Amino acid sequence: MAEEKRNYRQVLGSVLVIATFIMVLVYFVQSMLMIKG
Amino acid sequence: MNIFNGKGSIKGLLKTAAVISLAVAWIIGFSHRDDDILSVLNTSFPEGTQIEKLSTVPLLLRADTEETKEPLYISVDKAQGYGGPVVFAIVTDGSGTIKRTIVVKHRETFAWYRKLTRARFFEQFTGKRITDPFIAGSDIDTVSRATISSVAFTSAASKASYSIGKKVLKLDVSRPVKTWKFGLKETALLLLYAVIIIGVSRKMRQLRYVTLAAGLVFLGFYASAPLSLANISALMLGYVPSFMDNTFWWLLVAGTLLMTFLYGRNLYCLWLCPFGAIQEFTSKISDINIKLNRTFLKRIRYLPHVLVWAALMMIFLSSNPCIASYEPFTTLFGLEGIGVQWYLLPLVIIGSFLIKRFWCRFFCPVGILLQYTCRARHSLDKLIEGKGDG
Repeated sequence: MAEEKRNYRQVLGSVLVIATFIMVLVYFVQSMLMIKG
Repeated sequence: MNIFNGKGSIKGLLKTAAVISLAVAWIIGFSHRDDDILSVLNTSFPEGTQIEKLSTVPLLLRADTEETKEPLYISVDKAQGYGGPVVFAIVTDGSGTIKRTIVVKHRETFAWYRKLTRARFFEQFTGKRITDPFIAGSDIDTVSRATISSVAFTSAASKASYSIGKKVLKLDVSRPVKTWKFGLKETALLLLYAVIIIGVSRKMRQLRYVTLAAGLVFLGFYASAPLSLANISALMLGYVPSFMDNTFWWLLVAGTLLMTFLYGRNLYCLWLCPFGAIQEFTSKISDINIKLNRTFLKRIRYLPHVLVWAALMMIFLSSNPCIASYEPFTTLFGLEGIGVQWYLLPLVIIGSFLIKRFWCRFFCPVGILLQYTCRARHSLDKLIEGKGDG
C-alpha cells in the first residue's frame, strides 16, 4: 500500500514537471507570436 | 547510451556549441537593433504625404499632410524602460502642441505594456505643449505597477519635445535638473542585504526565514520587482539605466550578482527571493515533499539549462529581454498575465505544495545564472590557487 502510494506520488510529481515544461514552451511560442503580431 | 556520460567529449561539445550559438545570436540581434525606426514611423503615420529628415541625432522629421495646411513635426527619442530602451515619438504642430504620439519600439513586459494602453496612458500627451515640464507623477500620471515603463515613456517624450522645441521651433523649453532618487525601496534593499550578510557570516540560519518573509512582502508584493531573467539579460544586452535614474535596479541586479560572486554562494535564492519564499512556505504548509523517481530526475537534470539557453537565444536574437522571461513573477506579484501565464502560475503553485522548491529545482532561470556566477568564482579561486602553488 505504501509502495503504491509512493508510486502514485512519483507519477503525479513527474506529470507536474512535464506539464509545467510544456507550459513554458507554449509561453515561448506565445511570446514569439505576440512580437510578430 | 547516455550521451552525457562521455567525460569532456559530447557534453563539452554541447556546452561549447551553446556558448557559440548564444554569442552569434547576440551579434545578430545587435546588428538589427534600431534599423526599423523609419519604417515604423511610415506605417504609424500614413497621413504624412512627404516626410523630410531634419536631423539624425536626435531624430527630427518634418511631415506634410493633406489634412493640415501647416507641416507637422516628428521628434523621436528613447529612454530606459524595464526591459530596455523604449523609443517614443511625438507629433507636434508648428506652435508646439502635441497632436499625437507613436510608440516606435518598446521591450516592456507585455502585461505591463497592456496596463499602460488600458489606462490610456499615452492619450494624456495629446494636447500638451512641448514647453510643459513632462515629469512623471506630476504633470504626467504614472500607471500603478507599471511605474518604470510610465517613467521611461515620459522621459522619452520630455527629451523628444525638448529637441524639437529647441532645434526646430525655437521655443523657450527648459527641463528641470535631475536629482538622485534614493528612497525607501533602496534603503530597505540595502538593509536586507546587510541582514543577509550578518546571517551568513554568523551562521544564523533561522534569520533566513525573516529575510525570506521580508523579501516576499517587500520585493514581491510591495515593489513587484523580484530579480528576473529579464533583468540579467538586460544587463547582458547593455540595456542598463543610469545609476541616478534607477538606483534600485543597480542595487538589485548588480548587488545580487556581486554578492553571489564575492561569496561564491547563491545567497539571493536561499535568503531573499520572494518566489522562493512562496515555495518554501507552501511546502511547509503542506508538509509534503515528493521524492521523484531517480531515472526521471536523471533524464531531466539538464532541463533548466536547456530552458535558459532557449530563452537567451530568443532574447539575444530579438534584443528584447522580456520576450522569453518565462518566470510567473508578474502574474503572481503584479496580478498581470497574458494567456498561458495564467495556467503556468497555478501549476507551479500546486507543484510547490507537493515538491519542495518546485520552480527553483526544475525551471528557474535566475537560479541557473546565479549558479554559473558561483562557478565563475570557484574557477577563479582554483586559478589563483594553481598559480600560487606553481
